[in-house]
Amino acid sequence: MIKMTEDLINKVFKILENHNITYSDIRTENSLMTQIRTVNGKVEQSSTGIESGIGIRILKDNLWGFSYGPLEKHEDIIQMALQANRMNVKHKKIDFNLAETKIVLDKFEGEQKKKIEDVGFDEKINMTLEADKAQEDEKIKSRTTVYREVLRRMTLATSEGTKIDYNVPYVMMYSISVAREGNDTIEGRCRIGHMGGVEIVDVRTPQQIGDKAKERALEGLKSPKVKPGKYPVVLDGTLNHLFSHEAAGHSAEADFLLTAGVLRGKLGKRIAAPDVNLIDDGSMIESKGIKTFGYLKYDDEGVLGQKTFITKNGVLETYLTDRATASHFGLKATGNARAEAYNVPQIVRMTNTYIAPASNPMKPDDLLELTGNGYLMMQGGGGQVDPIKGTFNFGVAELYEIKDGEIGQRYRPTTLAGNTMETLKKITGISPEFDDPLDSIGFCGKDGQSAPVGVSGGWMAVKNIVVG
Amino acid sequence: MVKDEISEKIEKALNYGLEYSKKAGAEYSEAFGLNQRSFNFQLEKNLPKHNIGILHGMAFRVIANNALGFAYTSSFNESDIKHTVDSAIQNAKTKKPDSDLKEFPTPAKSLSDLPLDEKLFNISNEEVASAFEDLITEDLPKNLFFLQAMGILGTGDSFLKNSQGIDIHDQDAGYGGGVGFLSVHGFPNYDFHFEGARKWGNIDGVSIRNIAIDKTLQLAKPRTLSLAGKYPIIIPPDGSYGLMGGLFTILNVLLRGDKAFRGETPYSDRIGELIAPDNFSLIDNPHHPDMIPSASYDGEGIPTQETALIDKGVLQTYYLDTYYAGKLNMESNGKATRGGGLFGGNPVKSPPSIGSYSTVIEPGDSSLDEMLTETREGFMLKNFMGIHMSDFSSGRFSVTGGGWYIKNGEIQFPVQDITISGTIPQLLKDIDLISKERKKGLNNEVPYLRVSSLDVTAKKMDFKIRFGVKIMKLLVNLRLMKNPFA
Repeated sequence: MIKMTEDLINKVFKILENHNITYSDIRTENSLMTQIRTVNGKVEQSSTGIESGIGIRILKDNLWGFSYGPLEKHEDIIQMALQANRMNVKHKKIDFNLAETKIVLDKFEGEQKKKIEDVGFDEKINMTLEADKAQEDEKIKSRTTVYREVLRRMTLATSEGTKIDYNVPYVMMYSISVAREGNDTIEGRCRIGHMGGVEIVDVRTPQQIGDKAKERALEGLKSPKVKPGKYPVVLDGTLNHLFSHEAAGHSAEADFLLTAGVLRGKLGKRIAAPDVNLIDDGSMIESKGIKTFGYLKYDDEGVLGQKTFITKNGVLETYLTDRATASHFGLKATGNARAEAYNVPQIVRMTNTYIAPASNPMKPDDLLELTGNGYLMMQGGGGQVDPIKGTFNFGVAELYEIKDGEIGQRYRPTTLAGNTMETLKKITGISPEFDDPLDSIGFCGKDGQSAPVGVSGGWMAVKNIVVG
Repeated sequence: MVKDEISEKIEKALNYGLEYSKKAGAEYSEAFGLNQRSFNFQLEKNLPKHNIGILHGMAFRVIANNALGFAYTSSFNESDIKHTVDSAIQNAKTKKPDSDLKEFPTPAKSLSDLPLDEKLFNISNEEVASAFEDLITEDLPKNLFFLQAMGILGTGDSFLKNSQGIDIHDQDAGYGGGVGFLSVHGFPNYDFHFEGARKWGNIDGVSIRNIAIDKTLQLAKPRTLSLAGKYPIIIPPDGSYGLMGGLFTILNVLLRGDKAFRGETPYSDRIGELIAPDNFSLIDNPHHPDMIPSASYDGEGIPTQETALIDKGVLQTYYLDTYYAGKLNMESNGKATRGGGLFGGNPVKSPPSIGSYSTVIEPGDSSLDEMLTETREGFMLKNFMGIHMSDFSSGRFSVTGGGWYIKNGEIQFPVQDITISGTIPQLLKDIDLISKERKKGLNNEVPYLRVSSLDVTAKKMDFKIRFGVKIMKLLVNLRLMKNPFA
């Protein structure tokens, strides 16, 4: 197959030179993916694959043009990118320029203590079956475990001279146990992952992953349902991350804000309680000894991953930007341009997102005491946000009553819902002690693209929120 | 139609891979290839984001040592094809033999004659863009703003061949367009309208735009409420299977044969039982002449068929592929899908798995007017958030949506941030009215459904925020500040 050689890069840039282009970037990819799914003690699906191709993005007449396809068709793809640009220019109402960034010549290779390629396929199947076996119980009617690894091998080359080779490994594993008693059915889940190799299963073993999914399903089955209503809550680190990411972070993405959004026009204004530092940190490579899922040495425009205070002391400091939106809003490029693969354009995405206390760190026990009576919500299970209206809805896997400041009875998994702007102002206390980042990995979906994100955070008290 | 250079390369690679798989030790093999061209028209307010591309790839599924293996690649190179087939065989051989596994299907005649509009293959991108421009207008009612227009035209060649003689070259094409508007009459609210077709000219940008404007105005100036209790809920067609969150997509998962076999759904072992009102019928129709997911063959090469999953309230069957049909002692009804499709995803990257095509719910004998009249106090809700966090084994959901508050048989005002919770099996039983009128969506045609009682929770937005919006509107009207949504 055609590889991303200097010759190919030079050839593409040479053709583009004749088209009066301000800037262009080329991303070629040749990534490896493996997935194993076991169900009830059997390997239901196993697949391996190579995804390769080229994506070309040009900036001409202050607007983008993007196209993608097989490497062999790069000349056609250049023409398609030019055509896309011409059609964009026809609808031009905005001019894009690019925020300054350093030219980078580098290679980034994610560290793997136990390399993906050194662990046999049979060993990976055995690990997956081990998590499956751990879920066995007479009340568990169905057990599913998925092992997934991705070795993202990509090269970025820009017309400004940046060239970065990325070789980034991700490994994740999750189990879903379905418990049933009579007509009553309930799911329990456990998911872990990191940027790195297969060593992650030495930190949390397949047995532990299966055990945790089983425990959540069985406990859920015997727990009562919470009465839907409005309650004071304490959110654990996974839900700190989920709220920071889904509700607050998405609302701060500058590409959304070109269109509409609750944070539009609020730069420099107070949008959260005074103790809220909302942080997106692509430069955080490790937390509690675990390689974070959202780490970026460089983003997909070659901008260095960095720690960005979206709010400091509750005041909106910046949006999360790529180079074009940074220039549009007069901000710095925050290193948040990411693309899932060569066949989609870079868009603004988060990395590792959490809320930290600005000045008044509290301990988890203090937060329970502060809340008095309400619910402790643990283990976020996915979320969704409407960044225009500012509303959100999250899944919660573990729910406990807080009675007189003490943790009490467990309840069934449920959801919580609220309004971002309102909730940001109702945060009454934050702990700086991060929960385990292994529990806070996720794939964020936006514009049909998926991106690995983390990280975790400390516990956080909220005055009230809709539960159930 | 003439195959282009990439399709020719794909077919050659598939033939090579199938031939090689015999030598490499596969007992049976299957090859799938895709060459999909797409034109995406996207205008987000002031920002045009059109793009054009080619999605391609080849996937091999093999049975070796009586186990199944799968691998895929985007490279046409013979050594990469060999490597991919070897990987699939290695995947299979690493597993334990599966006595339930049978050889791949044999050729069978298609049960449909889906029309293919060749115009979609030959039309220029400029002409497509020009048609999508009808979605955009600057002539909008007061306090209504253009939010986003999107259009997509996809054409594709797909190839499915197997060692049992299946050799299908399918050409498929479709297009769709939609637009959304933002209302700032009160607290900001928005809505979209999207339509798709398999024949050029079957959708009209101006009509889509006008429907989107009407839908947005109907939701304008939403209120929030503080309440917790049980209320009747009307679910409009775009609340059941809408682009922005369809509650009944959970039901489609609960009716999957693999989940039924594993006991992962309340509908396991319940064929023949009454699970819904006796006027509720749900059909999967892969042969609709103008729905995007329509297909003559499923992902394994089985002829697709129209299937009544629920007939007059009685569970008839599940969505089935060949493997789970065998496990359940049933026949496949052609529901193996490869994911992705003309409107996104990459079908090459995953082996066939059970899914649905287009869902049809038969009309009832009520009407929306009657449903409203019969509702003393309740809601009509759609645009649900949080569906993907539902429990897809029990069907338990807790989702937040917007719509309208109904009192004394009449719509009173639009609402937002209303959370409803329950389980799909109970919701299905509690449907008490089904409308005669239906609406066609991208992959569905369904009526309005009224559920007699659901748990509803809502919290009124804080006074400070409501007051802040009012002040902002005043300042905008006095031209003392720029409208942040303009």
